[in-house]
Amino acid sequence: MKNFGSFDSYADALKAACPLILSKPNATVGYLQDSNPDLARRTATEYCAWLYYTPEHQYEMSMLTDQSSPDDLVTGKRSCLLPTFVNDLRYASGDLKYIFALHNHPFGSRISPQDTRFIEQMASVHEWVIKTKNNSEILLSVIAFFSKSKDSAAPTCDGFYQYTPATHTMVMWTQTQSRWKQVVLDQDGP
Amino acid sequence: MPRILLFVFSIVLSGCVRKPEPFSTPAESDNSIIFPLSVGNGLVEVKARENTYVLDGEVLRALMVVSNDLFPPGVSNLPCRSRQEAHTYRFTRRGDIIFVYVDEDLAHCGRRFIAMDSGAKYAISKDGRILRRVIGSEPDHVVWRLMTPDGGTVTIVTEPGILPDLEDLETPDSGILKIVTEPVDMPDVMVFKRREGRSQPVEAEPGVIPGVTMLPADAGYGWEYRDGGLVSVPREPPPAPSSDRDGGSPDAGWDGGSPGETASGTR
Repeated sequence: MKNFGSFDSYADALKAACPLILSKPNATVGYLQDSNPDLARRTATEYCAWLYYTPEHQYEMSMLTDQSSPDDLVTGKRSCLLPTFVNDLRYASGDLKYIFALHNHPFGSRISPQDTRFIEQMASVHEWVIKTKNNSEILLSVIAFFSKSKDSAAPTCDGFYQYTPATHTMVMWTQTQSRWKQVVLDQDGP
Repeated sequence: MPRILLFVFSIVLSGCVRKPEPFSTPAESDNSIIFPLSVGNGLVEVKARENTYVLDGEVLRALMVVSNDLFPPGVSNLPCRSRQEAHTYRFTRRGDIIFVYVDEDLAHCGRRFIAMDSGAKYAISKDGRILRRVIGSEPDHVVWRLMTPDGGTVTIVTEPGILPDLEDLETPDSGILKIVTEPVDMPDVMVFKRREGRSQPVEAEPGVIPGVTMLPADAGYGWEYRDGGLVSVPREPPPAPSSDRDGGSPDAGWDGGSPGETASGTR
């Protein structure tokens, strides 16, 4: 994506991606939920992108997918359709390593069943574990950014949910004054 | 005078040709309604090519209310995945409420992968009113399985945003809505359990990066498939330490880290 990165660490890429995605129109509507839930539902918009690792050991974000195109707005669906592969003309498609399926949850909710199914389907196409330089390993996961901000013009990045299909683990990461907390949840079989 | 009439007519006509919109059916937003966790006596796929079925009018009306609310009639040239017929409609009736779940039917459009947050579910009264709808990633109740001291479990339903503990069962207004006694086998119901010893959010510690699903090169661990999933296991001998930031070296702010236990399942 132009004007984004590239980054030497995926943490820096996440740090940049979170406010960028949440700053898009109607990417966060939680502040409307009590006062005008109908407006919140109608305007809520999801954006999604891949964070991927290049042969040059850089972390990049793909173009944002916005499925709130006119076709989608006339239905009630509020989903985000993320293409399976990134088309980065600098590299052969097979040379890219897919790490995080990024998107936003306008209401700040946790990973949905469809999110988990999506990333599990992606795990049948992409590697579950990728090796970076120095033999570090990263697991494929889906991430949903959220903001608790009441200011729609300047939403803050307050954290994200992350689901890792390889371990069936969901983590809620929250940020307060640059300190991070996590709650680790395991998905139990029904 | 004719120009005024023309103006009035144009306003009237513009109202008549108003663009179809989703969510045009009034809804009651009754958040006390909990969607069923059990399929009851079974989940039956309708195979109209093989069998003949009878559907009562109240269920049919509920399905129509849902499909028309989500996919307004009169819209043309929609892409395949956005059409009414490109979805499945799962339903069950509990008392006077008909619950309807809408999901993408990938086969209809020749697709292989679903879209994130592409589901929707409705609670419809037997007289056709929308009592509750949950679209995509909208907040919904959460199902938890808590460990009891005797080694058993108790399954509960809570308000969204609650991190329940066993003690909350005795606490009024703790956000616990229901103790579940039925089997939890409805598709797409996610059941969560807390990690032992992690009753509250854990304060960050230096060394591990938020969002980490990574094992640092110097962690001395690797991934192995065990028990149907990936688990981290010790490596012998451990690799040499690395200063690479990928390795989760301490840093400030975002990189300033979090607890030693990570999403990767390092234990």
